[in-house]
Amino acid sequence: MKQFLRSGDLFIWLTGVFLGICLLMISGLLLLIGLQGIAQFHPREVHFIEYQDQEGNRLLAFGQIYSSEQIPPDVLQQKGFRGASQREARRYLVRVGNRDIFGEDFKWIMGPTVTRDTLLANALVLEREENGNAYGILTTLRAPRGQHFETELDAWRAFERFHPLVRSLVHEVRDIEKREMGETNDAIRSLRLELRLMEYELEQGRLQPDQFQEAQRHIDAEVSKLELVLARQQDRIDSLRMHLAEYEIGLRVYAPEGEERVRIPLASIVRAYKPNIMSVSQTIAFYGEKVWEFVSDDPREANAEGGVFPAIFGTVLMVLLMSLAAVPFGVLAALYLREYAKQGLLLRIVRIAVNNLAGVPSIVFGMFGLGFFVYFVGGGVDRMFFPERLPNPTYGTGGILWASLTLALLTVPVVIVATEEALAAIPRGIREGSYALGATKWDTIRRVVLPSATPGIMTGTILAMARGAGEVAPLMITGVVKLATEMPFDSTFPFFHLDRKFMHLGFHIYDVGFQTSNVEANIGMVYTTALLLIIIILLLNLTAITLRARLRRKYRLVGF
Amino acid sequence: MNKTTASDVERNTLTQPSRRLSDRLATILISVGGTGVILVVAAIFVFIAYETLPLWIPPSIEHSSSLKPSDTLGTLHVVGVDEYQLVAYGVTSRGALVAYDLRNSRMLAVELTESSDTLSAAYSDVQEGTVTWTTRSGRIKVSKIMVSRNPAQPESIRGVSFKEIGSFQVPPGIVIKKVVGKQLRDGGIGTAALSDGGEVYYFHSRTTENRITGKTVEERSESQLPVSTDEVISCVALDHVGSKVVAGTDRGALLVWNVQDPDEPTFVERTEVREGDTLSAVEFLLGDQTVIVGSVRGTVRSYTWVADTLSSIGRKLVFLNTFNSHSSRIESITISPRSKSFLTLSTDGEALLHYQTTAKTLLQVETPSRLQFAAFSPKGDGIIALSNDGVTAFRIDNPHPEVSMHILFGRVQYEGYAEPTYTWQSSGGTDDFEPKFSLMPLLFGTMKGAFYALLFALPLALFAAIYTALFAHPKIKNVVKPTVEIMAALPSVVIGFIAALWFAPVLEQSFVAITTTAVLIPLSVLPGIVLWKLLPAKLTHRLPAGSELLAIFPSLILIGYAGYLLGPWIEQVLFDGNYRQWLYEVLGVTYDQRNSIVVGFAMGFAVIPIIFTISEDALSSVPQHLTAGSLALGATRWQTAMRVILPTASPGIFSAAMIGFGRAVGETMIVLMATGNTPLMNWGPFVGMRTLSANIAVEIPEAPHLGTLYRVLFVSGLLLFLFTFVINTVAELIRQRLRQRYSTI
Repeated sequence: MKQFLRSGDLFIWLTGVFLGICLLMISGLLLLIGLQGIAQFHPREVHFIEYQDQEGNRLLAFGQIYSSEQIPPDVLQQKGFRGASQREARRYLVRVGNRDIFGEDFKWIMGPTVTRDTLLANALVLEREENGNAYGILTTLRAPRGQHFETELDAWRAFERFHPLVRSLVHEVRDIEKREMGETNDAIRSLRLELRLMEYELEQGRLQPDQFQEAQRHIDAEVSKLELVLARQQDRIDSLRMHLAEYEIGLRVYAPEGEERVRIPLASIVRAYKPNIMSVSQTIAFYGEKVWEFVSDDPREANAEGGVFPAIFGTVLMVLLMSLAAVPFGVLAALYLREYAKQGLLLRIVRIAVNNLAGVPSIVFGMFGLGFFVYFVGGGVDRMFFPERLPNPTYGTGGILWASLTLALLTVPVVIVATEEALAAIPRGIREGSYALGATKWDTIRRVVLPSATPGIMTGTILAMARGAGEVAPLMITGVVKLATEMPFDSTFPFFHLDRKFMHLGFHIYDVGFQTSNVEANIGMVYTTALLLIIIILLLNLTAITLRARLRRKYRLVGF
Repeated sequence: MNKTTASDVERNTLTQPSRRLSDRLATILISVGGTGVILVVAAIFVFIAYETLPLWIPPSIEHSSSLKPSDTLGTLHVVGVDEYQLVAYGVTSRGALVAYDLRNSRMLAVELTESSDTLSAAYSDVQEGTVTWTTRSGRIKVSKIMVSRNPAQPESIRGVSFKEIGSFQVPPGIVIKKVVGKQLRDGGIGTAALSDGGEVYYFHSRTTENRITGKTVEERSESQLPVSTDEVISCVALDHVGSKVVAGTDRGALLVWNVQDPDEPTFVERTEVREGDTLSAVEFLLGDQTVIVGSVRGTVRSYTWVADTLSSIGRKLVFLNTFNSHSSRIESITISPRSKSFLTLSTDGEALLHYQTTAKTLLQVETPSRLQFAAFSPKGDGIIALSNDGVTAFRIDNPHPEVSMHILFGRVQYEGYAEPTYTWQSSGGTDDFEPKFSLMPLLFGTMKGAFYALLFALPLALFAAIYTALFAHPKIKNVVKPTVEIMAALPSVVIGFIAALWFAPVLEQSFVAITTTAVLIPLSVLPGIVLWKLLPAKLTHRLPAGSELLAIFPSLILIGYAGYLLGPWIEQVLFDGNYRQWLYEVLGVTYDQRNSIVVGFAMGFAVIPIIFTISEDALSSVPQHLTAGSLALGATRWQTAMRVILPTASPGIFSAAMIGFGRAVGETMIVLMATGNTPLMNWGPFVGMRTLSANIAVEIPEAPHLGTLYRVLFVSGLLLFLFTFVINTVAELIRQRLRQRYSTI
């Protein structure tokens, strides 16, 4: 043992312990996010819980258990659950739902007060467009033309038959609202803008008053025509809504004091399921449906439910725009630094400076983006090209273009460094061979150097994308929003609307986890979003790592 | 790489012209583009620095217009100006209200009231555009100037008129020598008047309209303020809400009355502010929390009310700042309606512009002849002055008076504060709020966060790097390095979210258990070694050196579980079952859920990869022959590591720590999420902080473009930029020198 101590092996073990901790932490974190993120879509069972309050009254709770924790000792003493042992003394966070009726979504129930806890086979979970989930037991279903289904079984069958139909009508209404009416509204808006522009020209004296009145008459006529179209579209929606209102279900819900009956319009129900009697295949199907909803749908309920499609779209588009700006310029700068510039002290300083820019806090870049792109350039663009819309800013406010350019500045050092490395790794013999054949320098770069460096540039690009996808702080001040009603890319001319604000997965995490009130309900969503973001970034990084490994192997073979 | 220049010339004669052209074009394009990109990147620094420049530009004043009023109505006594600095108005010695267009000296309005009566005192309040004056016969009038203009073109004035909004009568036989009149916040009119004999009268009127009947009722009250000393009152001031009247005496004391109930004013306090000096002017600063006091000797000082539990009224007046003195008696003090600026005017016509918070005298207002009266414009961006020559208007360009080096980095006593403090509080609920821009709490928070992060990350990353570089089996190395790279790629928003929403509650609940585990961790070596020794020697010998990690994992998990089990027991024994209560009762500390430990842990997690990678790089690139030599001389693995490799690689490790520190300083999202973002200056581990970076993220979206807050935030951004840039550059230089050294060994 003495010799063991003297040899210092003990300390080697100690250093090993520290490495072990690092590895445990990273794997623990990934595991935590992975498990929590996946568990979010699990159809939790609905418990029927009877418990007692302080005075010994019998109360009911009907809902899904979201989490449980040990009751702190002081609370335990205070409430006087002496009989309960430490192990049993847990409290449960039960989502009782029915926010529109009971007021609150979640309820803590002390384990020791529970007198009965059963799973009812026909317990029904309703995911709704608003007001969160509803829990209850289906009693009736009413459909148009006097169709009534009075037993639970009939009503459920009818529900399964009618629900897809109703939902497709709901989607139709939404489609009319969003697409058709949106287009009409856009047309009206652009006509009004046209008028505003003319007014502006009139004020500037570039337009004669009679010309203006002529144009105004014309535009007014167009607008009133469009308003008629709008009214017709509204009529269609109204009649569809009226039809939809005829479908409704009756639900037996459990308030703490006892049963209540409520009616819920079928149109407001997104999904209904009976988690207590789901078979394995049903669970898997349910799971798949939820995952699909998550990646393909718009968020509902202040981002706490539904999907994150706009955030995925915003992230991807932003990263692409960023690469479009960062990669060509980064490669250009690297080519200059490595191939054209005179190597010397000045270049060394520049190189160190470029390297170190990667270490400058991202918020500083964000600040620059806000001051320079948004206020200076954007404000200038507005004054030059959109003076008629002022004081409402067009480009003089945060938007996807400015956010992408800001991130491009942030990531351009990554591209420069990676490209320089790739250029430096190309053996000199290859270049000299090219020169020996009579190629000019540009020929050599274009035909020999750049193709060989492509994997390196790709690696840099991907690393830059991964870094860009994970940054949030600079975006927060240059154009990201919690809920973007309009996407930066859509079917109205000119299709790309780079002045629009956008949603972002990273910001979504911050927003849902920190800027909403109902954190218990949202935390699952945050985990899932985090999981998605991590998967995207890890995939990007793994691609970069493998590419780099391949690159190294390649040059080991070619090397001299 | 660029060694072909010599042959370029020759080759150019042989190559096709088109290719030569494209080569030339490419050279130009790449050179221009490349330098362009580098310049753009450098421009970031320039731009940020440029945005902060206006903060340091000294204020300037320029003469904008002047006019010479006619003397037929008497000489002007006090003047005011409208918000566009186009209309100058005032009251003359014969009690006539006059208004002039400053652009062409045209008289816009005149209103004669009770002519032939001479003025005894007058007061102008530009904020509401009121003029108050009193005549020898004891009449006090308050009039308001009404300027009607085209809303689209404020320069075109349609008409100017005066509206009498208050009229009071002083008891017969009394001559008023000083008067203050204001339109109060609730719409009432308050007037305080000081008589030749030193009595103070307070008049108040308020017209209210009954909502139902539509009838208007006027409440009027007048009273003499009670005085209990034999001092002579020499000056008087009234606040903007009509709750306090302050008077200065010949013995250098301030008397304060409460006039909230105008029918029954009560004497509140007497504070000696200047031993023996006769006070000659007093005025409330914007916000009514501070009074400026001038004396017959020309000194100017400010006093503020602070909370005081010992006093019967719960507050007391304390000294705040001294300002540049005049050489003669202070005649009047006028305040800016927009900022904490004020103007002092002395008998010899010297007028100085001061700023309360910074205690600085910004500039002197100069007129060709002796200055008699001066007032601010309603927007605080101009001064209208009355001199023997007539009326002169000035524009002052002073966009950021509230910032100075001392404000940003020094202790400052703000209004309502009993002592100088470092405070960051950029915005408040009201317009007259005094912003507090001390960067010190933010710098402190930044350093504290980085310190806690390194406290956690440095040992972990360093020892892990030592093990990976020097002892671990290459196969382990091949797993560890990509894992750490993955760790580096984790977005900080994810780490921050886990820290705040998962780790912080877990830590709060099982603080003792987690601390126990942390203490036990070094001990986890022991079960590992025991396990290792228990394994058949044949097996362990066959495993290559550096496979210890296989035994370490299970023992770490074992120790973690032991800590989890021991935690509650230790809490029961040492802290009476509730550590938070114990902390509060014994140490007097409260436990914030999002505290420095959480931040240190999360930010440490974020900087571990970078420290690990750089120091691992430095350690593993120590030339092989040094290690081999040491081992050949009989040194053990540990001795070689400690005596040979570590000293050689220490500059690299140092630069790794520096780069990690720079990263922690700039990290935004983690601190934003995992702390309460309160700008405290407290090293305690159980409280939060606010860092420079998080502060920028929180405040810049709300900061008005080019406003003071915006520019101050740019100052903090510049600090962050310079700090991280310098740290990274130094670290990079150290690394480059190290690399050179390795190649020469």
